[in-house]
Amino acid sequence: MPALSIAALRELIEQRFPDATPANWRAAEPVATGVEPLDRILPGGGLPRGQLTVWTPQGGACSMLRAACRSAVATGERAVWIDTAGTIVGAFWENGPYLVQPKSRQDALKGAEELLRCGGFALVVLDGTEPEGTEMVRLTRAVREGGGAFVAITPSPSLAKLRMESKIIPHSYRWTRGPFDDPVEVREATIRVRARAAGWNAHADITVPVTPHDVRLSLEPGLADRRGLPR
Amino acid sequence: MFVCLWSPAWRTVADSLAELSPALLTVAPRVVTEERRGGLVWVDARGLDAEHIARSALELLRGIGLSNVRAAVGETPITAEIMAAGIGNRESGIGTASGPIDSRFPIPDSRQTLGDLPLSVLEPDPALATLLDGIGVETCGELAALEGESVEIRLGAEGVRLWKLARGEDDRLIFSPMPRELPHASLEWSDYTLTDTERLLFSVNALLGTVCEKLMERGSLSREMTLDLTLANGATLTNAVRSGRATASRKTWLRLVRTLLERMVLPAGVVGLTLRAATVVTDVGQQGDLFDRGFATAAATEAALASLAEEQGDVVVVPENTAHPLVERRTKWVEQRDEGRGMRDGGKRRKPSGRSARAERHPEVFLIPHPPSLIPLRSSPSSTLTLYLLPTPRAIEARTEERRDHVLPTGYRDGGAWYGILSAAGPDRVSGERWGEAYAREYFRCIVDDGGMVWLYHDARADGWYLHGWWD
Repeated sequence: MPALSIAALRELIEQRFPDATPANWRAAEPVATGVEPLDRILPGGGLPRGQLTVWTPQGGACSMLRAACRSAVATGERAVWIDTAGTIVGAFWENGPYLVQPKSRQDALKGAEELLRCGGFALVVLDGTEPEGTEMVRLTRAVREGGGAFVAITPSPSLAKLRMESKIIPHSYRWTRGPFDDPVEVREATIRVRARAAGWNAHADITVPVTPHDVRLSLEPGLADRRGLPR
Repeated sequence: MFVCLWSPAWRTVADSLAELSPALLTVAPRVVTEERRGGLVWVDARGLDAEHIARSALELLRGIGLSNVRAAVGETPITAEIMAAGIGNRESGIGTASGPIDSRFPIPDSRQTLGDLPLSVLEPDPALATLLDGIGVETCGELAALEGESVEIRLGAEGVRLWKLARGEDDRLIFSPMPRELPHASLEWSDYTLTDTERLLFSVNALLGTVCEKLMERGSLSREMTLDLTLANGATLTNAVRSGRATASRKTWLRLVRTLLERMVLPAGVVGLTLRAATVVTDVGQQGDLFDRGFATAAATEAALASLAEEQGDVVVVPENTAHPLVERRTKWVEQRDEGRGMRDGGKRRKPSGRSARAERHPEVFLIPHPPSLIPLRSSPSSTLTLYLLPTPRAIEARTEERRDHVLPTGYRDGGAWYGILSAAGPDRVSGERWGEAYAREYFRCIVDDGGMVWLYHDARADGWYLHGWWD
C-alpha cells in the first residue's frame, strides 16, 4: 500500500472520529538522542514526540541535538536542522540529517511548520530563531499533528513540555599542553545538562570531545607566518 | 485479427499508399502501409469484427476506383500477408473487391502451418534459401516440421526467424502501441471574459482537481503541465508550468500556476482554459514495512521538501567544501538533490549491515550516503563540541598580555559586557591573498569564565580584535 493511501486512510479515520487521539502518538517511543547519560535524564528516555521541547542556547545544546539528529537517522528515521542564523560550519557538518538554511526568520518559521506538520521527521531542530506568542502556538499545533519531536533552541520556555538547559563547566576542559606548558589543543569538556518537565527535574554531567580544527598554516609551529603583512 | 489489403494496381489510383489511409480510417481505427510485396495496407481489426471491416474496406476502395484488391484476415500478420498477396491462393483465404470475401485464413499453429506453400513466399535471405534448398527443404510445411533446436544450431538466427514464420508465428509489431492520453481538462465560457487572475485561478483550481485526480488514478506524477488560455481575440496563450519534482499534488500545482498567473500580462480577456499534464512519469512505489515510519512517510516528506523548495528556493542544502585557508570561505552551500546520492558514492553503495540495514533498504530516508565513520557506534562518543561561526566576524575590544613573541587575550568586551578569559590557546596564524585582499589573522581558542569556548582573532594588518565563532 503506497504512503499516499496510508495518509488517505489516516485522514478518513480522523474525519470519522474527530475527537479521537491517535494512540500511537501517546504511546510512541520518544526520540532517543543516542547520548546515554542524556537519555537517562529525559522523561521516557528521549525527546518527546508530538511535543515542544525548548533548549537554552549555547552551553553544549547544539552538540547534544546534533547527536540526536544523527541517532534518528541511524535508526531509519529523518531529522532536520533549521539553521536560520547560518552559523553551521560546512566543514563540520555531517551528512545524514537534512540541513535547511532559510533566508529570513519568517521563512524559518513557515518552513518549520511545514516540516513539522508533514510527519516525516522524527526530529526537527529550530536554531537561530526565537518563536514568539502565536508563532509558538502554531508550531506547537503543527508538531502535535505531525507527531515528531520538536526542539527549539531559544531562551523562552513558553508552551514547552520539556525544558532543557546546558552549561559547559568552566574548569572541566582537558588540554593537551605544549613544551612551554601552554595549552595547545582542547581534548574534552564536561557539559552539565538539566531536564525539567511537569514533575520532572534531573541533571547529568556529560563529558564530550572537542572537534579539532585546522587553521594553522605556518610551516613550523615556532615560525610566525607573516605573509600578507605590510612590511 | 489483422486485415491485409493488397492490389497489383495500387499506383493507378494513388501516388502513394499513404494517401489511401485517410479514407480507410473511416472504417478502421488504425491503418499502416508498407512498401513490401508491391505495397501492403494493414488494417487493425484486433478486438473488432474483422470480416466486417475487411468487407467495408473493399467496398470503400471499390468506390474510389480500386476494384482489383484482395483482402485477407489472419490471426498473425504473416498469414494475412501471404494470402492477401495472392501467393498462397486458396479459395478459402482470399476475398476480392469484385468477388465474395470468404472469411478468414485458417488459424495457424504448430500443427497447422503454411503447409505446402513454397519457402519463397517467406522471402528468405538468398544464402539461407540456397542452404535450405541444399538440404532438401522446399515448402513451409517441411521447414515447420523441423525441430526448433536443430534449426537454431544448423541455420542460425535467420533460420529460426524463417522457421517461426513457416509455423505461422509472427510477432512483428505492425501497429505501434497506442500512447495513453495524458490527463487534461478544459473549460470554456462565452458570456463574459476574464482578466482577473484571482478568478482565473479559481477556474484553474477546478481543472487541477480533475487532472491531479486522473494522475493519481493512473499512479502517475507530472513534472510539467501546460496551461492554454483561449483569448477573446481568438489567440491562444500557451504556458508551461514545471515542478522541481514530479508530483500529483493539487496544492503544489496550484501554487505554481498562481505564481505564473501573477506574473502574466493578458493582452485580452480569457474565454477558455485548457490544462494538460505534459510530462508524466510513473509513480514507482516501493515495497516496504508499513510500520517503518521512515518508509511510510516518504511521500509526505518529499511533498513537504518540494513545497519548501518551491516557496523558498534552494534552502535544503549540503556543503561543498574546499581547502581555503579561511574557514568562512571554505564552504559553498548547494541544493541537496536526490541524484547526488549516486554521484557522491560513485554508484557503489555500501552493503547494508546492522542497524543501518533498514535505512539502506529505503533510500529515500537518506539523500546523501553516510560515510562509514559517521554511523554512530555504541562504544564511540556521539556528541562533540563543534565550531560555529558568526556570519560576519564581530569587532570586540580585548585586554591582552605579552607572552613570548605574541600577545594573548585575557578578556574581551562584547555587547557592553566584559568576559574574562580563563585560558587561551594560540595563536594559529593564517594569512594569504598576495594579489587580492590580503589577510593576516592570529586565532585564539579561549575559555571564557562562563564556561563557553570562543574563537577570537587578532587582525594583524588592521590591529583589531574580532569574535569569529564559538564551540557549542
